[in-house]
Amino acid sequence: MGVDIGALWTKAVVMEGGKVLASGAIRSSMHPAGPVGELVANLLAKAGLPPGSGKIAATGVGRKNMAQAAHLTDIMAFSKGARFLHPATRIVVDLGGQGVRLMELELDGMMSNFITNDKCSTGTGCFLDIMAAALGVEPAYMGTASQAAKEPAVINTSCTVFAESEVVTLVAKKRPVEEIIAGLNGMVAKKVVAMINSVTTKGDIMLAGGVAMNAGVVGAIEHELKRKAILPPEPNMVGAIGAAVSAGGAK
Amino acid sequence: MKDASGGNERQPRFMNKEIAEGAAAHRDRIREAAAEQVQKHLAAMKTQSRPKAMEYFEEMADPFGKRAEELKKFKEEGGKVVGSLCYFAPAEIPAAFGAVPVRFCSGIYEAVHPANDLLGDAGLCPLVKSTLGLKMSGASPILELCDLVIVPTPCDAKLKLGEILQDMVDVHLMNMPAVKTTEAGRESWIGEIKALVRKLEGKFGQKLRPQMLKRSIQTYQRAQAAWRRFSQLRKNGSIWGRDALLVAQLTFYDDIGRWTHNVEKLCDELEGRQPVAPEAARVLLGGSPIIWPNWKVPLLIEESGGIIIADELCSGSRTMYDPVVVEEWTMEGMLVALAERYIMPCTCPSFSPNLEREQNMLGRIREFGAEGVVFHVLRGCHLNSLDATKADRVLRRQRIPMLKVESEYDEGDLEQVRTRVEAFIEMIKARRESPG
Amino acid sequence: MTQIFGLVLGNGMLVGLPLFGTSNILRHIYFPNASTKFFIYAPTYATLYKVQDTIFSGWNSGYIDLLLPLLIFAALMIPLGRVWCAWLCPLGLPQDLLTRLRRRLGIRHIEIAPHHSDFIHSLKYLGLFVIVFYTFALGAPMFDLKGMWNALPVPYEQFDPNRAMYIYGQIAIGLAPPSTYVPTMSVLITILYLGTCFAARRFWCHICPQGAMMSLFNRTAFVRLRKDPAKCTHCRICYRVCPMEILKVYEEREGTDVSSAKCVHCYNCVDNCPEDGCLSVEFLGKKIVQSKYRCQCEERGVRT
Repeated sequence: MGVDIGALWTKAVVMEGGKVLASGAIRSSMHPAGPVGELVANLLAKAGLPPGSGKIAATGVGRKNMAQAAHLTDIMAFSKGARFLHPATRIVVDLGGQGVRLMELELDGMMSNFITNDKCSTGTGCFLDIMAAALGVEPAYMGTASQAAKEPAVINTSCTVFAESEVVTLVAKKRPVEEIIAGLNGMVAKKVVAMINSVTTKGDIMLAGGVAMNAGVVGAIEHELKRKAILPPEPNMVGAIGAAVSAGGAK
Repeated sequence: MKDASGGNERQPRFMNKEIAEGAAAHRDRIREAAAEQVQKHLAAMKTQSRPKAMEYFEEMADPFGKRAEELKKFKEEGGKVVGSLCYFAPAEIPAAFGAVPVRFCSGIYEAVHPANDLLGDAGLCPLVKSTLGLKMSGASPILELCDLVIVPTPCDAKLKLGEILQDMVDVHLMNMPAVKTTEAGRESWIGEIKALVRKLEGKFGQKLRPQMLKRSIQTYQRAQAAWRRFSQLRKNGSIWGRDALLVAQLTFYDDIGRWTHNVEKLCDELEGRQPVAPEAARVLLGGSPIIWPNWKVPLLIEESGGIIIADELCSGSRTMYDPVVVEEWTMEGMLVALAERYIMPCTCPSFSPNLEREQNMLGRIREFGAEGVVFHVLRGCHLNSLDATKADRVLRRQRIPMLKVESEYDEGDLEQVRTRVEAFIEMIKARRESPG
Repeated sequence: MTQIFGLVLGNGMLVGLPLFGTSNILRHIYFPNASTKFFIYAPTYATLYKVQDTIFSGWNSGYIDLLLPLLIFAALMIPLGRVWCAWLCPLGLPQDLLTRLRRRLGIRHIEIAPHHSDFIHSLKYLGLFVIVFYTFALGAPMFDLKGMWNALPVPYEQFDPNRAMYIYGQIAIGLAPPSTYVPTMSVLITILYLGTCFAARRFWCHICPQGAMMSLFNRTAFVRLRKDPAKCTHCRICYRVCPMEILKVYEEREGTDVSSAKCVHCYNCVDNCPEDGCLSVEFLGKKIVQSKYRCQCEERGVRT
């Protein structure tokens, strides 16, 4: 079993015999031990396994709250998860709640390098939530809206705070919300692709993390990259899967 | 505005009355914060396996404490204190005159604030800002005791610091050649060393005799030998890097003879000792200087499952590594030997070309069996930032993992840096299983 | 220290102590840079003298007599190269003693800049050529100068700095009669030798014509100077302590062989290199000595 205790969401998976049997997510809280224990028990039940079976590993910022689990950093967990889901992956991009991270994998699966943007929030889940609030829409809408956009609005800045004021200006100018969202997606895509281009490794790119569930962002990234990226069925579970793999779920 | 030596009345160029007063107001807070920072880090460094001989170094670790008292008394009895900022100012020369050389680079976070007010350039090297802030606020008793301050100019930040300090104290600038491989560059540096001797002769009203310089050089040669011995004993991880780096740091302001003696004692204790953390990831720490008590990065590394088995910091191993080898004990022979020792093998990125750094790094990795490199860069330090890029290329070719850590003089980014350091150390340990 | 010991021992043999009696075999072995002709009882003398004499008288026999001495010379040179120069040369010991004296007096040496150094070093080849050609010209019938052999000065005998030094020395000890002839030229050369070798380190070795002959073998000698460039910290100490101003040891960053024709094998560089195993002396691929870090203070007295 693997648990990924992120800043916004806590994800968990149960794996056996190299397959994901059950997965689920709850909002993160200050004292995760209780809710996480419940979540894991529910998942085990769903998977048809006896409660308390198997080894558990925890990752994410809150992992140290789970004293009884083995710990690994999310960077490691995402590498293992990506490798498990798509063995040919060379670059994994974790579009998480609070940070965008890029991991380079070698041909043998070893992680050779990682880049974290711990100084800037552009492209994170937080960033998109803030923008959704500024636009007065549901966060979920951010994912589907841009399909309807005829022409993406251009956002000049790459900084979250200044972007917010640009967005407010665009709203005042009566630009359609869809186009603004498309513009924001473009902004995120530029940042992510810049990170990808800054590394020498070339090959299959996997997009993971909560924000990778946003079709608009994924589309914008692929458009900027000029090629398709690998998108796992449950991108936000990649960390938890990696944790489960490291706990011995699968090789 | 009079300078500390009570000398020339010089028109201040940067400082003015308001800023001076504002800075002085910071003094007590800086002192408190410094004491706190020192205590916090010392507490974090305490481990069960710590050698007893480290007690001496712990005692001397307070830059405002015991040593400051000693120097105050020394000055009252007519002694002279010569401050310097940077490895390049040879300690042997002021010591030859009987003065106490003190390297006063600052690692105190709080001290950047008065400098931020004055400079209007927040992007400047935090080490320089902190040092400037210390002088402006008068918070450091040792700094206030300096009769003269030697400021070599390896980088922009230090160059400007030297200029600003002239408003507050007698400064002797030493012109660093950026290119040391040419005859002209080397000759110019020898000229600077000789100019320093003349300046001190003028300041102290005393001629430098070969015997005086010889004794001074020999004192430091013994210190260099002690450090080499200590370095060798670090190889099997018998002492934490955070402790070893503190030992190196104390050459900055401790009495060098006493330091040598205590290092020898520490070495005796380390002989045949078991590694303190056999499973820890063996890390080489490099990059911008890490000045006590700015122990943020070393502690992070060692708290995350790593051990700093070696380093290439100018504030660490590089201070005492190269020996001065004199063939001709004439004045000329000694001064040339000194001059060459300070720049030729030096790995500072202020030189171009700088093959020495690459070679030294790879050599240390091989010799100490390091599994990865953490390259620490102070924000605003372009020289080290670019060297980090170069190191990354070189290390990649050798398949040695490297982590670049950018840092400021505050603890705000502690958790982000911790995550990255933890991931890096995990990565190193994972590689052990499959030597790919 | 070992250097002085070796020198004294080697030179002791050459200074005329009849250690080997009057062995006929030894008479034929002309050590590369052995004593001059001017040691009474010296069992042998430098090859250069033999070469001179043989060229002078060898025209008719097709210089066949040159063959044996040169072969012996080669046989002695190939294993050791210019190790003879630093350790067994009678002109080497006085130079080292002069340097010691200068240092004790606290007088700085005259530093020879690298570009000047190369020029000075090349003078010895010129010197050798002149000696050979001059002797050849005197001896070859076509020039019809043979009769002048006694009138014209014989090159090496005039320019050997040892002559005045050792003859006067032997006169003083009573080994030679006071009337022994010493040409004025010799005295002047000796004074010049003493002066330059006091002011600069091993100056004679830069211009020694016998050294020129020996340098030709430095490339093939079994003794080689090796460097491990990965260990080099570029401290430049090896250059600074080298009496022959050899830059190669300091500058070599890739290869491992830093032997050079100018090197007299004094091993000052190996002695003073602070990095363990960076510089080493190899004989037929086997390491004999290598550099090791040591603290200068840990020696008794001052190292000169």
